[in-house]
Amino acid sequence: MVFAGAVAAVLAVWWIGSIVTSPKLIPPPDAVAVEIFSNPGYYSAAALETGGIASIGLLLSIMLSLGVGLIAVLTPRSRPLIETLAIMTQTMPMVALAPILVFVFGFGSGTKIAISVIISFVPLLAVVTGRISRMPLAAREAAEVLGLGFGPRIRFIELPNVLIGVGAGLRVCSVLAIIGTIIAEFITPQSGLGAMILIGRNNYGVTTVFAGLVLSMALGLVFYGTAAWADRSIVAHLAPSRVDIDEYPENRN
Amino acid sequence: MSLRYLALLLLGVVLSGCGEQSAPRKERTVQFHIDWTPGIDYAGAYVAREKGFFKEAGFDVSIIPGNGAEESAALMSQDRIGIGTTTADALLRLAHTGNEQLPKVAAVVFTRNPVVLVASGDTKIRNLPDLKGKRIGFSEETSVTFRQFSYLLNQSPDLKRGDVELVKVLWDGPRRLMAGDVDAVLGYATDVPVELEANGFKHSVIRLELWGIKVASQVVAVSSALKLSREETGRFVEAMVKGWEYARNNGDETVALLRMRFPALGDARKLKRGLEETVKLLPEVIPNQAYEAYTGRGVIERALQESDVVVSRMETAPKPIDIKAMLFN
Repeated sequence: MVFAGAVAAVLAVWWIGSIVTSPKLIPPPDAVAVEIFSNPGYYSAAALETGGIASIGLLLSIMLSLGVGLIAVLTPRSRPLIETLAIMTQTMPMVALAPILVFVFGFGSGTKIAISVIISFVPLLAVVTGRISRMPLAAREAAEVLGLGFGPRIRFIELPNVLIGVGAGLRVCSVLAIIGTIIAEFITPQSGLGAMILIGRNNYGVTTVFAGLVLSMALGLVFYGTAAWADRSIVAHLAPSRVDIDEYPENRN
Repeated sequence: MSLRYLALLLLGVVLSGCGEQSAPRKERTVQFHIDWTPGIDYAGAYVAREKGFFKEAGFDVSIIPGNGAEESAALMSQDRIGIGTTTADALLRLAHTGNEQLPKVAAVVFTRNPVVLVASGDTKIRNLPDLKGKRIGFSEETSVTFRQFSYLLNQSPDLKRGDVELVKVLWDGPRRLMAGDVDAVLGYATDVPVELEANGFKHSVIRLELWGIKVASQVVAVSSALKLSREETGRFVEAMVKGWEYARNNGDETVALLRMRFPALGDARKLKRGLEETVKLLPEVIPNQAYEAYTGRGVIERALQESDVVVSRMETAPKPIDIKAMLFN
């Protein structure tokens, strides 16, 4: 209900914007819908391409954030270095970095996935390292009292602590994976929504550009919804309250 | 009788051998890099692919879009692109920087300068001094259109830089002109005037070549990264020339092919007009001698020399160049 209301509000503002300015500047929603449905194969292929690349980028971002987070757990002194390097990747302009990425990964999907990962992994990493640094002292003391080894400590103490807060990072990361992919498609405009928007723009096709915007927003909602679902079902399932120490009988006193 | 039978058998063997020789060649995979996003300016390459001319010549071709002529020329000089399009002036500028690993020009596709200044109908611009007090829209400082126009302003004795207000309009030039934000915009003859025409907006077009900017535009260049023999490269370029000539003579079909592949290119009528303007930039062709018109050594050398008259003056400290060393053939 809330979702439908939000969509209706956006459509209303869009329609008014189109009337107040000019349909040549802001094409009305119905014109954009006609454009999309007159070439469904083309637009769905572009959205699927972007969605596919963003999915791979998101998956790699999650793996990278958790992997790097694990390094931060193992070597707490490396945390400032990890954070500094992560921030540096965020402040590098993609336009400057793109030629190097193209050189390494070529003109195909590799470069797009790399840019998607670079743009999306930091929020999740920030959550992971933040959670690690704010680990409750009582939990660490409990691990020591229980005499937990490395594996159980990660499983019962560190990982649940990280996963409690990871949902928020995952939601941001999921949307950024799409933005990253579209930016990459501007840089290597072969396929996907970014390339389509660029072709539309270079040919003064405002309706095409808006069709691209609508589809990228729709993708964003799908990704965000999936991340929110993952947050609720998977992450919440692994929260500390659900952890059963009986799975590791060797750690009983 | 048996001798005749034997002779027929031998003939059969010989003919089947000939058949084997003319069997389809194994296709070579080639990435052809255009210097901008897909559009009517690259119709020849897309027609060659969609109509199977590349396949007939033995190539499986992917067409890779680019980010501008300057970047394409630079990537070729770094051996990161094997074959693709760029512009004569981008290549010459690279040459004047002293770059020693220059790509070689295998064909000139656009022999004329497509850059135009498009003024709204009620703006009187005939000569350079008429620009005094005018607001001129441009896309990017690094664009070919801006470079050429800046050069004109700098070398004109009748104009100072402050006499003309330069307004960055990015890719919104036609709309900004129609809205009256600027008096004229820079663009290509194949896009801005066509867009204005489609919107029924009264305008006038001044080709920058009439003000002395005579440069060849699109060229096909080859770097040492291309893993094709000279004969294969020639065959590849010939297939592309065939594509351009097909596009020249079959406008409706070309537009339909492009729109089927890229619906984002928009309206068919607009594309057709764009193609009509594009065709005017192609070399003049004598029947059955199209390949020579695009790739002849004299043709390319003349185009580069003519372009260099302007480009060498545009550069602040141009290094001497050897145009003959830039020829592929």
